[in-house]
Amino acid sequence: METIIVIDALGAHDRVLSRHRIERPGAVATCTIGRGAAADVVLDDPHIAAVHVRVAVDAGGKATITDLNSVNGIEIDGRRLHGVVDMPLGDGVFRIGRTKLRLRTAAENIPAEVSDQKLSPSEARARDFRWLAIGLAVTIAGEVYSIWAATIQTRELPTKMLTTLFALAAIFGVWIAFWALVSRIAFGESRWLRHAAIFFCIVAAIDIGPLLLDTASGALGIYLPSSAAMLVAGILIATALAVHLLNASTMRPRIAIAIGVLIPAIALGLIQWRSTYTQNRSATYIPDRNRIVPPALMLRGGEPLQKFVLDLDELKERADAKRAFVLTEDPSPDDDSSDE
Amino acid sequence: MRATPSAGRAVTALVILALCGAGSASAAVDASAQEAVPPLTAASSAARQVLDRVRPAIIQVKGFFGTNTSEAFHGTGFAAAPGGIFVTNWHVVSDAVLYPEKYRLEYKTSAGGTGSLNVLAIDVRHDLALVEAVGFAPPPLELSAEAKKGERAYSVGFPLDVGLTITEGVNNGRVEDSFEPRIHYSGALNSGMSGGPGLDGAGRVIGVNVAVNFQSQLVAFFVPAEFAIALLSSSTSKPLDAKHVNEEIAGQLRAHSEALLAALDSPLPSQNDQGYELPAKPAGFFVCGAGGDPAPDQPIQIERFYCDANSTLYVASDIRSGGLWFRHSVLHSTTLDSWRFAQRLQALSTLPSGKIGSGRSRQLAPYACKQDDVTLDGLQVNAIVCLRAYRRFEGLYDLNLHIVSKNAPRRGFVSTLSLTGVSSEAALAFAKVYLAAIRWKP
Repeated sequence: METIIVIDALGAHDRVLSRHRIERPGAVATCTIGRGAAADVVLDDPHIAAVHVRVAVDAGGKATITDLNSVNGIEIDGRRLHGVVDMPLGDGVFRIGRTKLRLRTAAENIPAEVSDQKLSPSEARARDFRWLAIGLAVTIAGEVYSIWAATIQTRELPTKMLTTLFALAAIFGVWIAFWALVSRIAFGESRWLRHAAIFFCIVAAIDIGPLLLDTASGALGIYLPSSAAMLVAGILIATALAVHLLNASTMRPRIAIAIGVLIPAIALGLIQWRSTYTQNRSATYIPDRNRIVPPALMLRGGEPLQKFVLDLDELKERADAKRAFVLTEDPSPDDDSSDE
Repeated sequence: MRATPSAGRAVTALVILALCGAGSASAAVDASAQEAVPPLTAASSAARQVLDRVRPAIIQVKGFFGTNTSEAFHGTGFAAAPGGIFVTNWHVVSDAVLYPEKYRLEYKTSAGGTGSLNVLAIDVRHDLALVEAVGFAPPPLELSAEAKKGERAYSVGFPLDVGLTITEGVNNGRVEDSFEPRIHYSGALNSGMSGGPGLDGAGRVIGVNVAVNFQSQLVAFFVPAEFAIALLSSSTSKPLDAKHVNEEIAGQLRAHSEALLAALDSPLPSQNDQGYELPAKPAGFFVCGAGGDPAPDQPIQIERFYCDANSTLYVASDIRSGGLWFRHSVLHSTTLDSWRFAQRLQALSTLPSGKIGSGRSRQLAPYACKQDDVTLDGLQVNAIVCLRAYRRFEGLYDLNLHIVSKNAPRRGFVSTLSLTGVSSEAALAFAKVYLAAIRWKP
């Protein structure tokens, strides 16, 4: 029978910088860690003594660690210990000097093997690239379309498109760089491709979604309130945030999704509440939900004038109700001069 | 757009006049160096005689905010009936009538005497008010409903607080094509003279100073004296009932709008533009205009048309009412695809930040609107009909109508109507009339 002690020196993001495996015959084993050659595990840290600590593993596989009168002592769970103390280790992580170490024994519990359904890094890159290409293509198409649709002088198209695309590229760059930085802090890798893919897929959806919504609204003659567009935007932004967070941080999926949903819900909710508040008190606000599409696309005819004007009579009651509302809710508004 | 060239001409005219003035001034200096110019011996004394005659009957109407002793506003008034009854403009006293807890009115006679004023009766429609000067009852001026065009006329008042002033001009008779009757006075009228008398050569009151066109020269207006006579005969000597003053004003505004709507041609005249029959000049007193971009290579040609009844009344310093205007933009294109045309029509028809027209939330409640696609005699349009109530004046409403066509791939129009200070019944009835006047006749 022999006892095995493994000591890992950890770097940023808990990457293993060096691994030291010590095998001792018998059921109990000890080893020492220090800067000097006399130590079993030699570390190049000026804040470590020549022989800094002794690690012991008993027959049950339980480890203890003893400070050997070092200057800086041992740091466990944020507490610095001096002198000769026995300290049982929880997850096996402790710090001496400025080096983070992890102690492992044969008695450790390791998670079950993960099945190899995940993509290899190169496969993941290929997938990210595919989505980025799709998102980017649709985004550019959407932007080009919206500029084309808003420009009636064809000769102005190239300059307008170039300026818009450059401006968008700058904004996109900042956004993607932000998430890449967050990823780098959390995982030590930037994941540019993945964040760009997430971003452009969402921008593509934001470009295309309202266009389809507007066109369908105009074709069907169903006019949605502005809050519907706000809701669609909110869902898309929430999706973007949640997916970015899942790919840029170590937080649990449930929390990432909750944050992704909460931030836009609160922000857009406040905007919507504020605009409803103002509209309910404004003397000049008129909701215009009309959407115009070429007549060939229109599927529904208008209602006869006779029917439309019949329903007008209830306008008086609604106007009176709005008057009663502002007289009680907003009896003395700020002086707003709103001329044309 | 139409105003721009004429504004340019006005500036040019002013500059030329200024140069002429400088030239003659230097000539006068040269002449005086040689020999003195003899004074005129036969100067007209008519204005002095008129002023001497009316001076005792003129007061300055002053409004004070709170306990301030410096005035907030001022105008003019003249004695029109025995017992210290004076006529002035509604717009001089409106703030004091609407906010009696904030403002108080005082008079100052041309001899310097002062005292308080009570408002007895108001005529918002003709911008007149009767006030009673406590402790001052000079002999009233004679009011004359006759006013002959081309005769000499005078106006008396307290302009800019520089003291009692008379200006001399010409009575140019009733303004043609004006909804509310006005006398066109070709003479100077300035702020502070409002409510003062417009007089003929015999010193009789032919009108009440009311307005001036600042963008022109000496184009000023009197309210014809007949309305002051009518107000005098209908009023009692009791002060205005403060409790019912809002109802009174609302009633007068409704009467104004009803008269305005009754004066429109029936059926509403229309004109055809690009196949769209759209409402055109509805009565002689409307000011209508049209224009467009003459550049031939525009992918979309837009013609604009507007009509304004110029019937807006002054109600208070922060509210005007009683107006009626509409405008159309008619678009067509031969080169553009129907998709981009629809986009442009959408952009042109979408109300800027959801607004139509003007109005202050302090005076007006929010709009209640109905929007839908409507078929007008085979023409599909989208219509928004909006009605808003006045906060202060119960039973008074503003109507806004916004219509955009949806029937043709490369043709379209946007039409907007605004009618203010009406009953809801009259507003909605007119909305129907307006909608029914729109047709497709290619």
